[in-house]
Amino acid sequence: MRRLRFLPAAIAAALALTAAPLAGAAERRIVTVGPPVTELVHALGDGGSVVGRDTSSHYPPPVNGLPDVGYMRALSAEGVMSLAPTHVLAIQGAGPETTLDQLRALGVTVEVVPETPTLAGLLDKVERVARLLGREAEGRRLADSLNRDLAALAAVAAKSDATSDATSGTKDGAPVVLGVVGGGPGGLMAAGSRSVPAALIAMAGARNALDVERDYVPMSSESVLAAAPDILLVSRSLVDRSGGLDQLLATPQLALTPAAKARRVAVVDGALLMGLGPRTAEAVAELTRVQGTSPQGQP
Amino acid sequence: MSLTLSMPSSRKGDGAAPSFRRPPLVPVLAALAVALALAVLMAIATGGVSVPLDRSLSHLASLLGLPGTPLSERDWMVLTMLRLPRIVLAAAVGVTLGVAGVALQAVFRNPLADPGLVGVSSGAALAGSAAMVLGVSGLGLARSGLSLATVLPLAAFLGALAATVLILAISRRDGRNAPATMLLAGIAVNAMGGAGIGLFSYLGDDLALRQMTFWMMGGFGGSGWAQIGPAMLLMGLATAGLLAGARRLDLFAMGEREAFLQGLDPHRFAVRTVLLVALGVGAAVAVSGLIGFVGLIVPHVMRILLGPVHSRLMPATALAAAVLLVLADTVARTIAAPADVPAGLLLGAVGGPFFLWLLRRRSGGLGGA
Amino acid sequence: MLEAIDAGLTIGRARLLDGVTAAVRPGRVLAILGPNGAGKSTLLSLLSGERRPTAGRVLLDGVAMSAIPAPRLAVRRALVAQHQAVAFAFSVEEVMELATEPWLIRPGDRRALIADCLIRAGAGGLAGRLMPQLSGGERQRVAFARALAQLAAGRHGHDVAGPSYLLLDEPTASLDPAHQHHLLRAARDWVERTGGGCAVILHDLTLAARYADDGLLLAGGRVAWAGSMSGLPVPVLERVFGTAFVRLDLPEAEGVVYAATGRAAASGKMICE
Repeated sequence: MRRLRFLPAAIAAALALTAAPLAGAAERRIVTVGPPVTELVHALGDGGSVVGRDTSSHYPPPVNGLPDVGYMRALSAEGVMSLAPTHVLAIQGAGPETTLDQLRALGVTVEVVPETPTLAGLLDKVERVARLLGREAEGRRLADSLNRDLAALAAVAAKSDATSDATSGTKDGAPVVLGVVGGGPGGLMAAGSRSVPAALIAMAGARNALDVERDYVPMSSESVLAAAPDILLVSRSLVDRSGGLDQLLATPQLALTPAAKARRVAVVDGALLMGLGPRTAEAVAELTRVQGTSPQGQP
Repeated sequence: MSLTLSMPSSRKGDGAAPSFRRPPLVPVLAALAVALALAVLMAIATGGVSVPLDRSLSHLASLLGLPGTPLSERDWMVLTMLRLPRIVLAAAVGVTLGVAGVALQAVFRNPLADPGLVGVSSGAALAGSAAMVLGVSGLGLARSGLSLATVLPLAAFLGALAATVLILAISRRDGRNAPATMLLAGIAVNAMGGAGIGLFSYLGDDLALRQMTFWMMGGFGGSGWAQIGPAMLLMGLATAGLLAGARRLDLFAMGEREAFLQGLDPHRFAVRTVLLVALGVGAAVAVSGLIGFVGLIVPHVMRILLGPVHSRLMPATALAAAVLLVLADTVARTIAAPADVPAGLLLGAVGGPFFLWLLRRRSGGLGGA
Repeated sequence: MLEAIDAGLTIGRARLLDGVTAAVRPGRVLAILGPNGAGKSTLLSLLSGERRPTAGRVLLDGVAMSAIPAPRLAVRRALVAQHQAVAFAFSVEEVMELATEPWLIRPGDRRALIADCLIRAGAGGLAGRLMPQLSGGERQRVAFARALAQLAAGRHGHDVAGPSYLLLDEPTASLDPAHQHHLLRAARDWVERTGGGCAVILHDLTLAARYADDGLLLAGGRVAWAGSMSGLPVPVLERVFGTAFVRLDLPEAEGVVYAATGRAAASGKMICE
């Protein structure tokens, strides 16, 4: 009995010190679930109130030091309660629903933020979280800066399209980008038009290689080749798991694509492909940067 | 008949082997009951939110009008809303899976039989995947006002029953269900179920896929009284029905033919047992996902300990499996707190190697165990 | 009376039994004889009610076996199969208790009954052993004891109309000679004690002649001969088994001895001394 009680020793000890009655707590204690929500709460300046995060949330780096409440779809009510939160802010899809209901019944304010992979969706997300935190002013500032950055990037992309038009002679100018989230035997998992990578590709003024009304779709090697992507959009973790960029590009599914030949690959933090958030402009910037590179390949 | 024959009394082995005695049942059951009580107390005292046992007991005392201090409202709610339903569910699922495992092993006369054989797991998994991938609206229930949390267990339960009924229908020949044919039909239906799950994983989006994966690992998280109530009722009914068949299971374990010769209608009894197993395990899977090894390992160990007579084996297995799952869930809740580890995953990780060790230690003892 | 009337059993294209008429009479022992594949075990499975005939009828006291529910059949007939399957490690006592369990017997009476049946079957020394640890012959003796217990328990304190029937499928196959005689004498004793009827499949014609009243010789699923065992004609035996037989009459009314000589059954000559 003793040993089991000491398993979560650190947390239990911390809890004994910090546990305070929920009602009337002046202090705000937030558990954030989903990288976009975690990042937004920090971007809005409320990072100090965050006491827990889900497994996928790794940014900003200090959150790695916070207790991990598990995978966003398999939250444990008591696990979350052990952090004595006043608020649970979660991205759409977090659950299970019964756990959220139990938390509500225990007096925790549970808010689920919709995930819509469009610019409008992102701005809406910013506004909602800001309102929930009572930081509307910070919210407006963040929305403005996002709008400004993305507009600037769109302008750069339009210019580079024009140049690449002149050099490569593609028909409608915009380069074709394939979002790859994973490999598989004989094919790979690619981002469809309802995915976050598709939103990033659109914001960068490029064209998604996979015009399918789904989020992620298994794609055969031949369809990859037929789509002839000029640029690949991948997560850093996929590159690492593949053993490096060279190994990833050498996989038979990708090796023959124009993108692999020219080594035009936008590598971004995996969290940026999971949902739109305050760092979305970073991902778009990386895509825009790669669009500026020569389609003929680097020396 | 005047020939004088020497009555062969003491020959090879006769009387030479040490007389063999089974351990008495009552002390074993008492020990298991104490173990269950301790496991439950430990589970009550353990969790992410610290509610020491002495304070819980003090609260209980105050409820009974004895001197004691009540818990804070939050601690009380954590205990009764979050922790107790999980403990109770873990114990009930343990009882159900253990007893169902024993019953199926007798019907198929194979100590390695498990509920997967009668399609329960694949049927539940297939219907559960369908619910998760298609969602409430995809199942045509958009206007019913039901949430996925309600639809999922219902779908899993119906899927389990449907797969079992399909197996019974396929294996029916001349109005009879021979267990051997049921086994083959079970393999076929499981393969079809696997293909269906594959189809839904192909259709599913990323989130649905991950949800499916987690659900199939099995665990007791996210269950409140409202979710587990109906399942507990079904599990209770099925377990009671199976326990009532203990003697007939003994007959069946001796062979279909022996069972018939000693007064049992073996095919009807097999169908009844399989349906009860589907009912109980289907309800268990519906609320806790796929929890493996319990229905295999616990009966195996108890059979080694107590012998194959079902009136002894079933109650002991029920208690031992309840202890095992309550402990597994306690570890699952605490080992990575505040995150929850699927209890099914833990059991698989520990149960698999343990089972192999058991097999090796009793080499060749499988059939005789 | 337990009887098959013009009974046949066809499975697919295989005609296992064809027009067999046989009767197991109360107070008598019927030996079922014949070469391998003659349909002896099949006939026993019809008589036990395990299988239904595809032609003809099998009746217990004039009622079709298939119309009698399994629990009632269990009181009226028991069968000792050729092989005893063991999937689980039941002990000898547990097997015996199970056979006596469905009927209400006081624990003391049950223990006495079990001990009595084990001793009658020559398995008294096997109590306290596990079934999988027993040799084939030992298992056969336990199975015989179990059959005796099943029929005895069914009648314990109950009124059961009509005699019981004991069906034995090669009960002596794995037994040493002493145990063979002991078991058949126990069967004979049971018939005389309870007034029940017994049908036993035997390959040893000497044993059959010694312990059975009537004989039924099957060949190719048909009845080749039926009658009193004392009148079993050697030429018929030789024709059915395809080998020559000798029959020796033992002195001092010790019965007869049959032996197959292994020679081709051309002559059909009989040696009587």
